[in-house]
Amino acid sequence: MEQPKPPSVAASAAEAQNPNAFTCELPHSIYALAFSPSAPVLAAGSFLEDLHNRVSLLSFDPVHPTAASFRALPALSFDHPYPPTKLQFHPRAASAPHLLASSSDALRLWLAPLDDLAATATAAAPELRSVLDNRKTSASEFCAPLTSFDWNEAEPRRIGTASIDTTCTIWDIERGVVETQLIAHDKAVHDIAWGENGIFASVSADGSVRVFDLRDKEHSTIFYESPRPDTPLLRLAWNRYDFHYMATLLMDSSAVVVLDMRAPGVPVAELHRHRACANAVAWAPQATRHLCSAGDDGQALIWELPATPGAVPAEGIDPVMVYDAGAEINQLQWAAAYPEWISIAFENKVQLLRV
Amino acid sequence: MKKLRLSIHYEPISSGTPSSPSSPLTKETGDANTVLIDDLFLAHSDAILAGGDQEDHQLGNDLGQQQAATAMEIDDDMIYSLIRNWDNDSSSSWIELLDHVVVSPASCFVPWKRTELDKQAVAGGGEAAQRLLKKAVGGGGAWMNRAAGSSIKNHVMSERRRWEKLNEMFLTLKSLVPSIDKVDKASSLAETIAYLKELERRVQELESGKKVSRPAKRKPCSERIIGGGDAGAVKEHHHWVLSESQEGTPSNVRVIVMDKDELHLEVHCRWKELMMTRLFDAIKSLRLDVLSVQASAPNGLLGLKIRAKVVSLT
Repeated sequence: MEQPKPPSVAASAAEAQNPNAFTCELPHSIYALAFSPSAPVLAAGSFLEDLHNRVSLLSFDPVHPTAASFRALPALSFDHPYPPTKLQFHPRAASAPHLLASSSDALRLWLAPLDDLAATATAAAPELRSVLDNRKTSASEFCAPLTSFDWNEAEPRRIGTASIDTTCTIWDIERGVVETQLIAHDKAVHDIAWGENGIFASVSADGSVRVFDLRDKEHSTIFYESPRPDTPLLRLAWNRYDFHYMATLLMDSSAVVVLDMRAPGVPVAELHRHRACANAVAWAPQATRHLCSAGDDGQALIWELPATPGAVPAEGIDPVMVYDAGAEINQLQWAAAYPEWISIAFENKVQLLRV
Repeated sequence: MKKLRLSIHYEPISSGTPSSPSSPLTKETGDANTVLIDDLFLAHSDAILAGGDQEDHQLGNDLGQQQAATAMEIDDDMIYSLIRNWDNDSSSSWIELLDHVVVSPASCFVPWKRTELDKQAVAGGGEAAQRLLKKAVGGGGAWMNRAAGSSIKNHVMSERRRWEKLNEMFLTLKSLVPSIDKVDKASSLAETIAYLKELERRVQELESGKKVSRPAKRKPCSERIIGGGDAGAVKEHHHWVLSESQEGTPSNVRVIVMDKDELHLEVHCRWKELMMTRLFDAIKSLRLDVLSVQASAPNGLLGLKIRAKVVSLT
């Protein structure tokens, strides 16, 4: 069992030198992160390879941030079975109930009372609203674990989940039923991301990025295949500000592969400045050609793509900005609600970084 | 935003970059090009002076509108040829502009600088690389539950097979050991242990029985000392001992003559039904009066020490 590590000297040094980085330490190793679109709250999921895990809600002040204002809200933390592989809040800021979704052995929806954070001392803990799994339909004792999911921003009643059993499932969360289920790949599906107009993409252990259209479920387009044979693709990020762009990560690779929908098959760019394997990638929420990546080298890099596809220099693109966390960064979030803040997770720490 | 990016591209040219193809184009456009350069300079100054992100975005929108209006006066081909003339020497000023437009002064990110380390190839993964990410796409621990479930089933099956085999062996053991009459396994084991020990003891008794036969031969001499009248009794006694040996039981009889009338008998034999009755009947048949009996049970056998007196014939 993992034990909380003592804060590393490098991390402390980095924090001391950087007054605009705010750190919150939690009892366990952290993997999943999510910004709330309607409240200054971050959700952080623990990663213990055990049945008993915990999701913590952290509050922060985006206007006048201080070290004290970035803290966990114990009353709003709750137990979660298995480590959550992804966390995401309901994408509509004006939604009446504050819903938080999590994926592990099943898709779960939690009701989080974020309306009055000042009264958290008396607030009830987030309650489990529904569990969505295929257990009954598949007539199996066990549900194949979910590796990730994505909440459709245009139609929030839709959540797409990615599973180890090679399928992508589109859920209607208002009715709690499966809208459609597709055998998306030949091997485990590692991530899923929505585009626009009912289009979604997925990455798989078979090394391919595939694009699906709910209006034409019989067909899918292989958008990219990893150059090395059978190298799994681990994560996928679709630029929500300019849907032409996607980014994906390969297993045991430090590269971030950037794809353009208008030119399938050949990457627009391969970003090669991480000194160890890349763990996370996210597009800037209010810019077309900026993205941030983080990796085992402890660095978060902000990149800018060239304006024209043919303008990539021969020696490769250099990142524009860098932040050094001092330990392997496992997670990275850059939300549209707070475009001036990036959140990262490493060891048992969550950090807020001002961009 | 796109328009702002387009206008930023003109900065390298206006700074006097030695790019010969651009000079003729600049001259040819005349007043229109002058307007472009002025707008670009204004954009640069405003970007530097901007204090917050929100203002940056608004400024970008305004510039975009102005730029769109201005762009209509210029041929598209001319714009693209200007863009193509942009070269790498201007990348530093490009990044400098980007700093002011995109990143706030309070950022905890710092400009990236290339080092020698970046030129080295990154070694391939290994177990520690992408540790949590690989576990997350592997099912985040929920997958272990499935494996654990199936291993539990296999464990139950193997345990069942093992106990079936044990039960068969216990039944075989019961059939081999005659003394086992209880059902439970612990009793079966205990009685088997006792039976094995008894068998070992029988082997020892049989081996020691050969040695005892020699003292038995001396008995007639001892009895003769007592008197000739008892010769018949002596013969009977000897016969009795031989009878015991023929039965195959590990028995042992010692006769010690103390004086004229008294003798000691030491008897060790396996307990049987009516053993005591038979023993004392044999003593009576020898015309002996029992004076005392000392009984013991060494190692589960019957042990007797008997003092007896010869019955007087008078």
